[in-house]
Amino acid sequence: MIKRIDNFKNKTRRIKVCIFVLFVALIFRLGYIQIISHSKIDRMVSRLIARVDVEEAKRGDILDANGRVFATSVRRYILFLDAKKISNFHAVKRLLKENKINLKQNSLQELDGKSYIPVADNLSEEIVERIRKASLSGIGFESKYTRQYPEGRMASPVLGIIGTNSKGLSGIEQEFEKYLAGTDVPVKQTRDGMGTILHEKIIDRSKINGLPVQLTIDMNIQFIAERELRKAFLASRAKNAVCIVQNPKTGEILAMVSLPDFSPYEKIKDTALLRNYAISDMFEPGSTFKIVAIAAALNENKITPNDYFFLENGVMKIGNHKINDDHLIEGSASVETIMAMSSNIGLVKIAQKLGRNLFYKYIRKFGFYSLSDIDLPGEARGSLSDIRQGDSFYLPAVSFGQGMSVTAIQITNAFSVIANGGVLMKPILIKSIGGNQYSQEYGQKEIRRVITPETAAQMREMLKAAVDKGTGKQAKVPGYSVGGKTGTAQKYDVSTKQYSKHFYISSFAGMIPAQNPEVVIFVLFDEPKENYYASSISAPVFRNIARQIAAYLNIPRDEK
Amino acid sequence: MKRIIAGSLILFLVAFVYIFERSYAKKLDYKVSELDNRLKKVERENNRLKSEIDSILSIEKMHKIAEEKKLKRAGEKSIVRLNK
Repeated sequence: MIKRIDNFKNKTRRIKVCIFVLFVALIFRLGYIQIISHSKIDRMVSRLIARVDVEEAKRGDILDANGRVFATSVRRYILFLDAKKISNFHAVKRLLKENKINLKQNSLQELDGKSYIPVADNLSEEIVERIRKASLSGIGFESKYTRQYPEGRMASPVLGIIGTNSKGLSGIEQEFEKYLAGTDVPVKQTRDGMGTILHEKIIDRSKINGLPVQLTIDMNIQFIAERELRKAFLASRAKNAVCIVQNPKTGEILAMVSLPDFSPYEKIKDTALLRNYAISDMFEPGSTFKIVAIAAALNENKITPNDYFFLENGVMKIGNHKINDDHLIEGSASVETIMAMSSNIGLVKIAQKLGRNLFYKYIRKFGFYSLSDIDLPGEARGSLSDIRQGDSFYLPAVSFGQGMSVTAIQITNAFSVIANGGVLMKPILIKSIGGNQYSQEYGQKEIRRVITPETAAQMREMLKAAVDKGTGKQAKVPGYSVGGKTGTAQKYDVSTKQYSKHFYISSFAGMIPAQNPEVVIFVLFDEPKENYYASSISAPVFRNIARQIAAYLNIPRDEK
Repeated sequence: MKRIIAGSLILFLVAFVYIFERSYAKKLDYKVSELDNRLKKVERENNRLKSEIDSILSIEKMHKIAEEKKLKRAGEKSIVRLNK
């Protein structure tokens, strides 16, 4: 009996030891796999299931001065069919119909065995999820960021466009590519047995996305300027038209219009449409340029506003050249009248009194024949021969704005000098980048003092007289004092090597209110048909724009 | 014998904790990934809707609607300006 019990106890003990040893062996094996062989097994698995994907950066928005969106990037889903993988065509067609996607093909054969047939785009996440859940083979989705311009063609030459590789090709999109683009980041992923994707790292998208660029352009002012300019542009059948609205005190551009423009959603067949006429194209300014000689002569105390000049009864000869006055003034006229009635002969005499050297100096001081450094690509410098060395007619011609060429932004800046008490400001388009991170580089900048405040005040008085009593009457805005100058310049015809009798540049530059201007507005039409006089075409457009802007900005009336 | 059993138990516990921790970390990985995917979806949808709103409220469209409804621009006397 006792022997049996002993045997039983021994057997039990042996079984316990075996189980224990097995158990320990299992623990060691587990430890070996999990701890010692861990790296090796991990490497093997990674090779099988790991892949590298790209976390795409969202391109930064372009905003107006009040934060409204000019351009933004949105992820869009494109639904496509793979005819080779579709197992049940009718189920696919039914599923798409349920999600309001119409498939024009009625059978699989009509898909021609193609593996990529786009069927719908701009789908919402909700619809994509619903279609994915149905798990029908042959349906695929492609997603990428696409650029959206909610206001359509508004300010399109200024904003520019991006190419198929999402890089800026013109305008702000190009100039600020480094801020807008963001940084695509490669991300390691692993896929488990169920197909679920796990990221190795979670990317903080706010750190990789492009920065928003906020412009000084006010969308409402841009809309006013575009609408009025476009009406007159179509009516006059002009070749080009420009309008720039600037805050003279800060240099901020509140609106910039260049016509013809383009829609960013249509194919651009003519790349000339991408040009921003306001900064890239040069023209002979005509009488708007007269402010330079007069301001310079006043500033150098060569003349006073009440000085009189004999106007040669409207015809003056210099060498083989004849200079005419469009508005005949008998006898002599004061400097103020010369400006108001836009006398070419009067300007020639003022410029001659000023002298070549000083005139050239002031032309450059006003910013002509120089880049304004506006933050846009493709700015032209203008053209100007050295009048200090030219023939005897060159100085007279330049004094009334012919024989040289300028850009619209240069003329606007020059008038802003007069509006701003004599100081030339850099024209600014950028209000902030990434919420003020880089704004200092692009902020307000005083370039130089051009004329004294007193001279600037005298010039504003004369420009006011030009509107009240002179050629700029059509620019008058009821309730406001307005100062401005018309400009009607013949275009040089390269084929005949003469000034054309048919093609003109018609422009008006002005400020409102005249004494303490809050905005400067420049309007230009290139080759308007039929009526080309600035007083008939540009001045009225200025008036319509100025009236609406004054109301929008709540500029107090200063006249009854 | 008792020491061997105690030692084995401790070893077992350590291994168990280690494996549990790795397994839990993996579960959290899944959770984080799922939440990140959901966040991305919501962000994308949010951006898309914002863009749609901007498009609907575009100045050009507002102006067309105003013209269709024959609305008139308010005169100077009709506007009451409030100070900020």
